[in-house]
Amino acid sequence: MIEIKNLHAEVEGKKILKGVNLTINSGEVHAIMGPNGAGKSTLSYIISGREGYNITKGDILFDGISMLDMLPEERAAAGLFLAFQYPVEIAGVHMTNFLKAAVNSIRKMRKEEELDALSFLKLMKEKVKKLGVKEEMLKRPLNVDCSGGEKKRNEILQMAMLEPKFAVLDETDSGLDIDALKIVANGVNSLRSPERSFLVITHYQRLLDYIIPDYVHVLSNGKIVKSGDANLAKELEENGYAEFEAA
Amino acid sequence: MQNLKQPKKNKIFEDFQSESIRLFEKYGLPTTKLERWKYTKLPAFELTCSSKCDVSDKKYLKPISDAADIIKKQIFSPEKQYDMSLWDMNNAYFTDGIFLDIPKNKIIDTPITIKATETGNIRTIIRVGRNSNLTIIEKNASESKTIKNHIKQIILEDGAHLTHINIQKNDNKEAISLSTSHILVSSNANYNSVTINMGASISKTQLQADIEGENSEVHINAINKISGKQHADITALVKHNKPNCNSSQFVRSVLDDSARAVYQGKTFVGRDACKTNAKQMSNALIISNLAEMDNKPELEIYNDDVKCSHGATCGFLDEEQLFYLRSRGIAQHDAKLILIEAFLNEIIELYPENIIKVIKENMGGS
Repeated sequence: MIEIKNLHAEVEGKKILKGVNLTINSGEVHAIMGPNGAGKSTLSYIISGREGYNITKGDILFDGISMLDMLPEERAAAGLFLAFQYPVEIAGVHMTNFLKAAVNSIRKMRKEEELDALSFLKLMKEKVKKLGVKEEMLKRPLNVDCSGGEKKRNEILQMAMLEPKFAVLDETDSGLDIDALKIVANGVNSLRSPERSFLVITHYQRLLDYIIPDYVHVLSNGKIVKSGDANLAKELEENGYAEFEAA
Repeated sequence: MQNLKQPKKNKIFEDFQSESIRLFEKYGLPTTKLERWKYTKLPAFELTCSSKCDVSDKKYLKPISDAADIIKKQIFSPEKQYDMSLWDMNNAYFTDGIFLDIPKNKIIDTPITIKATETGNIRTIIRVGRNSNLTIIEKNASESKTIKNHIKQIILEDGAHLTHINIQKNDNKEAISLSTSHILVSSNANYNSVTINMGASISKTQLQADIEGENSEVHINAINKISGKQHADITALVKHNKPNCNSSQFVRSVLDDSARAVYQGKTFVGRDACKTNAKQMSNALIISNLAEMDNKPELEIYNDDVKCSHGATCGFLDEEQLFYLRSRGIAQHDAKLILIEAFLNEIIELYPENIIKVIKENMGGS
């Protein structure tokens, strides 16, 4: 489903990614771990199409089609979702209106019929109930005056509404206490399905106690230096990243 | 100025009509040499006709002659430089106007709409009686090339509340809209206004509120949403003359193409006005590199037991926010519109539901 092939990328002339290779099949959950500055967030931003990165070599294929020339909104319509490490606050935009705009924009790009207000609200209420999000959140301006946990829950609600084929979770655990982490992880787990794959990017192993990955990769100095199963995360927790950083 | 058309004799105001025309002949239209007109240059024009507003609810209308005392009592410019010529021109040439006189203890739930659509010197007097409460929706619109010199005199008696929505939507690209309001605020009164400038080639909105009683509030908010070569100027002065009063001036401007907006806002706090709480903030969103915003928030304070703040910002659309929306599948163009709306919502949402609805209906499609 997703093939990252020999991806090289620079930011302002500085080489960040130096040949990343990764294949994620439908239904799989992959985790990328690594020390700070390894290029984890850069990889998530490049996948989602953020400007400011110079891709010097390689390609990212989504269902066999190169995504590199696609706009962020086109990637979303193709079925990609990025859960942000720091969800952006937008005063004056209400969560409900924003979700409706997003859902219908994607439906429009996919040439599907847009949802009317009633069917949209019905769908949203359903998802809200399933994820245990407070309805009061929906009336608030987007991410404004929200705790870290509420923001991340908003991200998961957005994911549930947009039903992506491939979701990237960028440091979803950062800034969360253990209770909030469990709630967010449960949300993600409820969205796992054979048609949906995930790439979980994290610095710490603890998120992976709740979202159990099929594969774990270590990203260091712009390259994947080791791959394994869920046990690799536990080894990293014990031994740290020192051996990879030295390399 | 020469060859000015002699005004139609207006019997009630005859004495000051001749004085006004003398002054107008002497000073002419305001120029950029005047501080209050520093950023707004008017083209030469002659405006000698009179027109008046159309009012949706005529129940509280009185003949303009009943407002003679109010009209004569108008306050002349305290500034050293003379910038009252729009008043002079109006005094000289208006022949009729609106006098909306709300008696005391009236709570009027349905907003009263007043419409100014025609070229001319327009005079509107609004008096809100003791403990009355009212919303006025002023629509300043027209499709043809109009020039309007609208002078408003507003009086709030003790405990009166007036919400004043002023929507300026002159679609004609050559229209000139000049709006000058003088608001007199008594004690426990509340004047809450929002001016929305979207039309005209040049619009200048001048507001002066004199707070003459304790425990009162004045809110002068404004939105400029302009493009092309449009020019919109908000010049406001709130004078705190009594203790325990609050005021705010919040302005948000969205400027596209080579549009230019001006905010000159001043809060004056007199010697007796202790416990004043006054805020001023102007934020501009610059959509195009050619647009311009001129901000001049000012404070003049003669009492040291007050809380006053002022500030101004100018910026482009936030790239982080834009990317966030786009990553959710919202196309770039729509994402920009959402962010612009959000920016303006922070002013609009200061008002109750029914007013928000009216504002949005009027702003839509522009």
